[in-house]
Amino acid sequence: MRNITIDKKFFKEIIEKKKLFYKQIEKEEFDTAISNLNKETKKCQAAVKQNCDTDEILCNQYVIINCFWGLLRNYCKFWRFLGDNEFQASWNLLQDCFGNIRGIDMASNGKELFDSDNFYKHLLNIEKLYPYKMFISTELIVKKIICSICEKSPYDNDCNHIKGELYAGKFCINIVKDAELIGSSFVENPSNKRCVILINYDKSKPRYSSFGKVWQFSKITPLHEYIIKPKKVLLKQKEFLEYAKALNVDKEQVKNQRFVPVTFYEVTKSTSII
Amino acid sequence: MTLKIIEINNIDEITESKLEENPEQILLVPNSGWREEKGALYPSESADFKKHINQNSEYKAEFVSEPTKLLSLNSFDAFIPLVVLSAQFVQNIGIKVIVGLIVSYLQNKYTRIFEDSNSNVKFTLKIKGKKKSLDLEYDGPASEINSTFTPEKVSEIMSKL
Ligand SMILES: [Zn+2]
Repeated sequence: MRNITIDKKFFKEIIEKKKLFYKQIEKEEFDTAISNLNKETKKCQAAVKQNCDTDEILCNQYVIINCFWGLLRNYCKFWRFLGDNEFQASWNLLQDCFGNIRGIDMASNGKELFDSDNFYKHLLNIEKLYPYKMFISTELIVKKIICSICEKSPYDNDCNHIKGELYAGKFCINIVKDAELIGSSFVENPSNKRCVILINYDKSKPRYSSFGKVWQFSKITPLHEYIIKPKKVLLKQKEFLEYAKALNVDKEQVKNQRFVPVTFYEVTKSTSII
Repeated sequence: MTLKIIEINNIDEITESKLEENPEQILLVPNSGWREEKGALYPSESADFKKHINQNSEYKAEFVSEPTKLLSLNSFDAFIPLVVLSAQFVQNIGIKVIVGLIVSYLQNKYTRIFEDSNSNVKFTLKIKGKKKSLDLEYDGPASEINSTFTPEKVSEIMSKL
């Protein structure tokens, strides 16, 4: 089911709560925010359980509201990983946030209520700071697949469910029961961006890694856009060698220089997204 | 973005006879193999595409054969099966109606990707005419599908049938 409209009766509570969560996130009180968001999720899940047999429309609304709490929770976890220089893990959380937005997008009035356009643009901009440009496309031959709602094959004429849509509070997914991997290839526009090539880096020296821009971004305030500018800096010979090692830069030519000019990108805080 | 209009001489017998049985249907045809894998392979989300047409339009989509093997890719290179139509049907309802069903499918299912001008999708429409048939191959951003089928392009396609 699509075109779900969140009832006005929910607005006041959602708006009050989201303001509170935005404040906690800006102040980087991620643990507090996550614990409060978990409580909201529990409430939504209980409401879904209570209404799934009697009121599908209400039930689907609770699922979508819960997608918004999920988005904020994943955004908090994303920042916690950034703080620990766990950039690879942070990328996966970023993708989870996009998944939550897909759920929110099912509500016709979700854009205003859940600021989903702002979050979407923000997350896309963050993605650009990562070194992942090509993705792995696994090529599978699927021999058996079932629909999570009716447990029949989605190709059975009795199954009318479409993957990704909501049915009485449950997202329809296709479960692969039997498949064979026949190959893999690199693609620029994958349907799932989690399939990346892992990049090794030294977590203790993130500045001189492929994740340097992400590391710089992690120093600005959450829920803010960033400005990125090239900046020329002079690195001491020792610093340059570290930099060259991490980024595979030729170090032979500058052997005898005390300072080496290098162009870095500087990431600084810009406007608030909310 | 590109829209290639390729004239072809014939289409396979099974598809042709199915289309003769009922020229008013939208036939969904599998890829014939992928890499070393031979035989009929339907893109893994073919069932969703068929349901989308059947639930959101007055037209009927059918698979040309039983989908026993599915091809699942992490890309939009083969997100829907080959769509085969009779020239008679296209003349009656207009090619834009069919294109519109592909667009609304993408819009519903991949809303944000649809709006992203960098995301490429590929699909082929095959139209079986009396003498000749046409392959319409699209490769470009999802958001530009509709505008690619301009009135000039549509008349060019229709004149070739
Ligand atoms: Zn089903």
